[in-house]
Amino acid sequence: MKVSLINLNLVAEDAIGTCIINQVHFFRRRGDDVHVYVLHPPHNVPTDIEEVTSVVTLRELIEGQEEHFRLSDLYIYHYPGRHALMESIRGIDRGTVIFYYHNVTPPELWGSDIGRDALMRDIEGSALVHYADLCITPSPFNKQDLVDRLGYAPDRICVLPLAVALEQFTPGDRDPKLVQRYELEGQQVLLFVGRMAGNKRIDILIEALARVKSQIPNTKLLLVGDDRSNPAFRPIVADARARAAELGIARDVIWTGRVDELPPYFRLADVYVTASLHEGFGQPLVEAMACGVPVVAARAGAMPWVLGDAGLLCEPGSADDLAEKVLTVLRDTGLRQTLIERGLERVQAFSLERYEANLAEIVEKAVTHTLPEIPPEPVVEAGREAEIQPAAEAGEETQIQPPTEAGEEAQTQPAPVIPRDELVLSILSDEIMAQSDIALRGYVVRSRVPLLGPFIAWVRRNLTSHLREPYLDPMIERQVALNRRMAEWMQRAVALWTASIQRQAELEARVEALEAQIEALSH
Amino acid sequence: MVYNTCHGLLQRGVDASILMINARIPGGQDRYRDVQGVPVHEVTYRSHLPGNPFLQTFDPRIYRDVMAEIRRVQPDLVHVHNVSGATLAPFVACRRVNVPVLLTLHDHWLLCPNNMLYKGDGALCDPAEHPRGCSHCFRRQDFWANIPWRRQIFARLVQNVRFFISPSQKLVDLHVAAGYNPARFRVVPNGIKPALFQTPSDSLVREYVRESGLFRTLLLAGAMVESKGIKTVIEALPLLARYVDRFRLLVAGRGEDRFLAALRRFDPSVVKLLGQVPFQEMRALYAATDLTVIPSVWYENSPMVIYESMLAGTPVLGSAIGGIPELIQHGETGYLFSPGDAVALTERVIQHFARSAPERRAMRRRCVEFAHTHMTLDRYLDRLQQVYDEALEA
Repeated sequence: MKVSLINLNLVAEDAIGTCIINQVHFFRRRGDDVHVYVLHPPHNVPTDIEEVTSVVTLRELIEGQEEHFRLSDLYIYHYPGRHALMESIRGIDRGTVIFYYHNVTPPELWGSDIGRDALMRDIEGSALVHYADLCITPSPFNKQDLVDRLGYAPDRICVLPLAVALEQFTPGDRDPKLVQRYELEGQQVLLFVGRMAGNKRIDILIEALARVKSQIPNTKLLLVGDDRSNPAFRPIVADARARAAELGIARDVIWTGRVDELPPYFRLADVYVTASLHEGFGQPLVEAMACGVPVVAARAGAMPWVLGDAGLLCEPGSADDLAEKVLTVLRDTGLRQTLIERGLERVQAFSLERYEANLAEIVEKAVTHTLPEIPPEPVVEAGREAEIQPAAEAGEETQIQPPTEAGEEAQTQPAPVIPRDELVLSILSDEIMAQSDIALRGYVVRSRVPLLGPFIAWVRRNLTSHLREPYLDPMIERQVALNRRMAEWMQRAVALWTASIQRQAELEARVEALEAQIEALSH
Repeated sequence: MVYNTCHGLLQRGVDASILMINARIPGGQDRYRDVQGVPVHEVTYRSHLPGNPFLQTFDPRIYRDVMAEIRRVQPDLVHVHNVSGATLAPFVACRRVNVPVLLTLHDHWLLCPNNMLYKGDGALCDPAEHPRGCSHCFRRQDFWANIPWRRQIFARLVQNVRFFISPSQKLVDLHVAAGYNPARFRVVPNGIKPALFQTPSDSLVREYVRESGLFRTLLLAGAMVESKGIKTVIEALPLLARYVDRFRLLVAGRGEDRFLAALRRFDPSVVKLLGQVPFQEMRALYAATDLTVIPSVWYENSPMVIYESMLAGTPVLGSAIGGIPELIQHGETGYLFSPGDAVALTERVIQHFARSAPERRAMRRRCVEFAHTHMTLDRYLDRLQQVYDEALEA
């Protein structure tokens, strides 16, 4: 079957990009014909994915210019937020439409006025889910959100946890280079991974660090993630830095910014901490568990579900509670070991294999019927077509070409845009040109006498050719040339005549105008 | 249908075979074949069915062959399909050897010599009103010579039929109105195999499949004959072309020249004539269209076009006549309009395309769901086996 994946962009590093790439591989392995439609050019994706990715506009999608899109049996609309291509979901009248809801941060938790309007729009845009047959979302938390906020039928929402690359995220030793770079030798490391958005509550982590340090002085907080791409992050980061300085722990808070490779950072950590108030899934939690790092997280969003019993939960918004839980994990080695073991077990639920098995089930259930595969028509080469054309004409047995054919055709199909006079002239000139050729070029010698016919035709051809070729043909060609010249001359004459009529009309109008002017001046 | 039934029964461990008698085409064949695992005994006669109305009611040649087959196979049960080509001889033979017999009704041959309860002036015949037949019959196709007291004689000759199996309730009602006992009828809707699509080999069909979604396409499939109501579509065409944006009608099937000529007179970019399209390729065509239209004006039984269209996910626009309303839920899996009403047909098409895209998509989904729950071969066979068991017990 044909599958179309639609998203705003395709960036290999981000969670939705990874998800789309996984899906492309999944559908390909099933033998489906899959294509990705994005608004922005893909970034850093493998060439095999780039080949099936088209950068399109909404117009191209809704006007049926993209044949694959028009004939698709399954459409998966990824919703990272509202974008133009999303609107095409309204017009799909066949196949199956899946809305892949990737969570939108609530504007009230955003923590900045910059970009809040966009979030409001994203929240409103999620109502487009009503145009879909089915909704996929990574956690029960998001499912409940869609049910409560939009009244979407719960039985039409499938929970499909994101896949985490478990082969990359494995437990391991600290990378000495990183230890050296961030001066972590002999330090307990609290790690947070994520963009520095308001809902992540970095300030709570810094408060908690101060409390933990009062008990265990050799502790550092490692903040890994994007802190500058969005202008909304800057005031949040600045405030957090100021607070850290105020508490006297500015040197113990390390901001790495965005990093290319995450697993070594997870391996640096003793505890993974997050005070985030809203998480649709919380992929770093899974990655931390996969790397054998115990997790302490706020009891908010999808995080309690993601952790299961493999982590400690604290009160949302409470630095004291977070600090206490972190201290427990750091001190109680038995508990720490249990959490690590449970975490490693828990992450198996988020493997790529599980993801694909679940997705296969959903697709199986969702797709009711498919259009047949139509292979593309073989393209006839231009050269070959040209070769065939005259041969077909020569094969025709028309004895005489009706000279007025072109004229008749023009008469039967008058183009309405041409003014009447010009039309008549063009018909006339075409007719004259057609009539000027008197050579009977389509003439074929043949005989209708039964059986003997071909023989008679052969005799006639051979008897006449010695006269025709040297004497008759040159005479006729001369006559044709003369006729053509005459016809062209007539055309030119007619053109001159029409032009002179126009000129006359113009001059008359000018004379009239001048006369009127003289009249006006003389009075 | 018969092949699918027999094949399905064999797979369910029922020993079954087919005797195929065609007295309507001359051939003079008597051969045993194995059609993909189904044993078939095929018989045709040297001369076709005579014009003699009595021989059209009872053909001794058929009686002889059915008797021989029954002696050879020794069946517990005989199931007769479309009986009009084989006269009533099989029932007499079964009565002679006392084998229970079932008859699947495909048309109204027991009630009406033209099979259709359709009069020459285009009006429908009420079997209760004309107990001896109306004799104003539509004779242009499939007409069987009449005999005096035809209905009574026929009723007497099929007296030993245990159950009449009918795919639609409407057919039962008509037979009951003509005096048959309602207890002798069992409604078993047809079933079709949810076969996979075949890539169409015909370049036109391929083109239409590829263009699906660019036009608002209506598909008219079947024989282009009067009883199928082609006239209604021809009347509606100017309206449809005028009021439905990007409208296109695909016509698949052969038929009377006058209808084809009338269709050809329309703009060739609006009306596309495909001629006969192979059965396997029809599925693709159904899937590629937006609506399938069945404008029949006779008491249609249980048209397979509806089954096939719904299986491919295409809602059906059908005239409210015969068994058609039993298969279509108005507004859910298709639309109904009163037979012969071209304006109503147009209105329904306009109504359909005025609905939002997700609604139309939901309709397609419901069609497939309905086909998968109500129209499968398995369901049909289950029901049929129940009737068989009932017939054997009785």
